[in-house]
Amino acid sequence: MIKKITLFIALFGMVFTSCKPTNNIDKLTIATAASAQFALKKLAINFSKKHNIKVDVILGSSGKLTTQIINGAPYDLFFSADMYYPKMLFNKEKTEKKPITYAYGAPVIWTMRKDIAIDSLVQLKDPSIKHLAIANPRNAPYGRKAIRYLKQKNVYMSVEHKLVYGESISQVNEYVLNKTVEVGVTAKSIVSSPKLKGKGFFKELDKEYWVKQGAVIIKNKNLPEMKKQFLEYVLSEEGKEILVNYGYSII
Amino acid sequence: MLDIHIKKQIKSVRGETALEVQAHFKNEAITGIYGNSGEGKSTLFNIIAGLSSPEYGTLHYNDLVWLDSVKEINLPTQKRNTGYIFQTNSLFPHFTVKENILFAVKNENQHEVAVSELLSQVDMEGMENRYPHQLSGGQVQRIAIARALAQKAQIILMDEPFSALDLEIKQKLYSFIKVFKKKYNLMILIVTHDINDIFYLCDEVLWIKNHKTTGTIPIDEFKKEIELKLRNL
Amino acid sequence: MPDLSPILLSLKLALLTSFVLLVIGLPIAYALSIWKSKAKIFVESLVSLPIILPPTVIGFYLLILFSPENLFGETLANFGIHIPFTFSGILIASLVYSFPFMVQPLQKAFEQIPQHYWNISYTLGKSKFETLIKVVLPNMKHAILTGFILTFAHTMGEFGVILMIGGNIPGETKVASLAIYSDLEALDYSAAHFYSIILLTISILIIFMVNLLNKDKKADA
Repeated sequence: MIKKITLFIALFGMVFTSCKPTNNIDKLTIATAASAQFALKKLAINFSKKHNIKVDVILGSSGKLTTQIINGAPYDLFFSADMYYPKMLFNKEKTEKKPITYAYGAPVIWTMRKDIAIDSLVQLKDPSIKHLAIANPRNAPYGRKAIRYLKQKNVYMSVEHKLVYGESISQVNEYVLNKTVEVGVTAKSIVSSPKLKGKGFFKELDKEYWVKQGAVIIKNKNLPEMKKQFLEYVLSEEGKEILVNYGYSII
Repeated sequence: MLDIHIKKQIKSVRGETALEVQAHFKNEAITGIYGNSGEGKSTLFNIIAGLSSPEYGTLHYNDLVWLDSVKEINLPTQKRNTGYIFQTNSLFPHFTVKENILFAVKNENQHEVAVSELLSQVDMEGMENRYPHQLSGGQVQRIAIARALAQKAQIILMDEPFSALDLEIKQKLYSFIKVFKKKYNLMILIVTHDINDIFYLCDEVLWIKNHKTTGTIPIDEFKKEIELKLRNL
Repeated sequence: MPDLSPILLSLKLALLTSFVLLVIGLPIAYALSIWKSKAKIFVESLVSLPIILPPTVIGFYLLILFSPENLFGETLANFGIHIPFTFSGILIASLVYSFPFMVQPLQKAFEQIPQHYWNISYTLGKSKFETLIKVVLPNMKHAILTGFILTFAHTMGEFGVILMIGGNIPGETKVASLAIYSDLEALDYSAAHFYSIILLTISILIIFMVNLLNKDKKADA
């Protein structure tokens, strides 16, 4: 019995000492929408090397991250997939300044299947395409743009029954990658990321369907200069180049 | 001797009613508590052991006041030192026989208790390390009696101790109880609904009728009353 | 190999949750087991509420409760206590979320201990506390182990509540389930598999242990 207890305490101690939070080191925490994660991670790594500072990138849906920021989450910057949530945070006085647009994100129609000509909208109506996945338009900007696109091209009525709604754009990606659906609408920043480059075929939607990507600095006491510098870095020539490489457009 | 005079509200099949007991129990006697089920026999035991309090009454044991509702005296169960034996599960299942017996003894006195000797007195030699589930019903009751002896209880309360046992084992227990009563000057109270237990074992009987009783009667008187009852059937 | 800290953080959270819940669960379960009142059913329903409430709802309300935006959270913040997005925050969330998994088996066990175990012990001169420690608790060790293991397992798999109040912060609130979520979002399937397989192994071991315990219990009876 005593042996057992000693063993237990030893195990307990190991688990406890093994993960001490690193509270006291200077660190930037960047909250980002899932669609922007690949570009932001690259930007964070570069910035981290330049300024010798730890940068954590935290993922979530724009809506959930916004709720958390309103309730005091320790994030320093927030890169949303749209302007709506950054504006909401600004109106609630949670941000240093007005949101700025750091890039435009193009929605893309994406498929893994060679035989599907995604250039032709007519093909979406074809019975061989059983499902069309889009992100939930209620909280995902790429989903909203997809609906608008289908409506304006007058195919919405004939494909409505094929629509499958992903909880976020990540779920749409999974559906397409696993071939659970034949076609999905996702972000160009996803299909252009190093992980997915060359996988399947995509068609970019016209400029009018691009999504404005908003960023804000969150009001808190942590490293005011660094936060500003990170945003400046994203907007710099080098930052723009990375964003473009990851599938964003700069106007 | 134990003098009891109590009144307590109890729930019976006919609704709320009062249990009223007035009795005098002798030392060195085996007294049967007889009555139909629901008469309040177990409640009476709980009052004697201090596990339940009556609204009104007194309880005196020799020179000690155990209970006096007017003076607001109510000696806690722990200080009354009564041995309590139930119909089943009188022993703690997670203890061995030895541990069960030693549990009744204060820590500092444990080395003085010769468990093996106690066990031989109840014909249970060598059973120290058995667990209760490895014993028969009669053996459990014998260990419970050995525990009451280890506890040096002066009053032993037995609540239907034989009702789960075969006749043969019952008779063996009867003779044990009679021997111990003499040897250790015990006052033994036995709740039972079985007249055989009373005929074989008891010196006196407290008969509870309609939740009321005004005192014990000698065993002969009880026998006569029962015979009369049987003849009238 | 992916970073092991989410797994260790999950283990730490689950162990702490189980221990703390055992300590606060025992008196509560005991009180519930002896309480006789019409309000009991109401309190019991409240205790089991986390079983049916969606985790995100629990997380959301805890977030609101402890948010510095509100009086309660603000008061705590004034004392330097920050609950949301910290380890303490996910610990509190886990305590709420797993509460019924500890209290229900313990309450049931207290109710099943025959009253005369208590009574015999009293007549043998033992106090209520001594009886509890030496007689009652040893006779409900199955329930204690079951409660502990269920709480542990439930906390290991916790996701929605922690996501809401924890904020996915590495080394602080990013537990294994959140790491899997992040890796899936990042399309990093190999890392997601790595964490999933560890969680799966732990779950299988736990279920195996629970079944072993139940078998033991049957053999005892």
